[in-house]
Amino acid sequence: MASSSTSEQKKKIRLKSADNELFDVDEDAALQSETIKNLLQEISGDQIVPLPNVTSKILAKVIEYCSNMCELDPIISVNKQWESFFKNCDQDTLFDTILAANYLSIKSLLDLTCKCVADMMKGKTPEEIREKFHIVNDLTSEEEAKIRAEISWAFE
Amino acid sequence: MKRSMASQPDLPHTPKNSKKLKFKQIPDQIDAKTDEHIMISPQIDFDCDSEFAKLDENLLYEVFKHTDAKTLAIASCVSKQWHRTGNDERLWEMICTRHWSNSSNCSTQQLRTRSVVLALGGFRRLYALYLSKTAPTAPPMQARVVKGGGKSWGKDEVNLSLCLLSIGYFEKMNLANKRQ
Repeated sequence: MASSSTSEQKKKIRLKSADNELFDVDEDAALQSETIKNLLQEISGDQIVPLPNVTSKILAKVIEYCSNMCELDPIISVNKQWESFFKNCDQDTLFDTILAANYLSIKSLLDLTCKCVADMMKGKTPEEIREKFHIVNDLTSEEEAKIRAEISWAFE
Repeated sequence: MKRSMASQPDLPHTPKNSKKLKFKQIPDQIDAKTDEHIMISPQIDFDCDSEFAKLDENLLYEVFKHTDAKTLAIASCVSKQWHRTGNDERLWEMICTRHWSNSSNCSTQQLRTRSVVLALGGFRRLYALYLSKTAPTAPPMQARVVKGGGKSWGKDEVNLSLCLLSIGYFEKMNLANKRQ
């Protein structure tokens, strides 16, 4: 009964981050996440949706992204803005957002953030990629030489 | 009842407990050393200060989906995990067919070529051997291999590379037979 009277207003969903911060989010923004959509079906009524894998810092960004995607019509220009945000933010934020987008199943955000990482790798040598992302080379020199010979065309 | 039973023998049986723990730890360590089972935890691979260590192989795959052929090839010599993920045939198929889909309606043909390519050594091999030379990013070679090549591969380029791939395969097969 009560729900039918509030349905005309924008329905809010209450999310709880890993560090127990609460977020009130428009339903249509929250439903961009398949995970939240499924969780809402499991829990009844106006319960809080717990998201133990996402910190408040990242969740705030994700919510901002989702509401942007709902509100603004020219999605391409919004996407461009977000792309430049992720290209300029620190790696911690970028990779945590990838994890959050994956956990929350927001495909467009996952694609966008993964594309940013892929673009960061473009035109670099293996050494430069390792340096940029602090990756330890665990290949033996023989293994690496063999792989490099296989893909010698890429170094031309 | 069960809880009190479990909590009581805690003190007198500490040696047993520690033994159990040791047994549990040993297989984990072996897994980490053999490298084949790294899927369990990517953190074992890298230093903890690498942001990339947060991503498992599935997410690394998601990142690689957005790379071009050259970047993917170079990424595959960054580390063991990157090599495993970067060699995924599905990624190379996406790269090969990304170019094909621009050319005329060959979606049904694509399905047929897929089985041929996979039988003859895979998309990664196809790209490395032939397509890397005709790729739009390599203009000097393009003029020689493909007459008046456009920005994407047409039917002829696809057919040519497939022919070359199968010829190469059968040549190898002949050699192998003669040796036997």
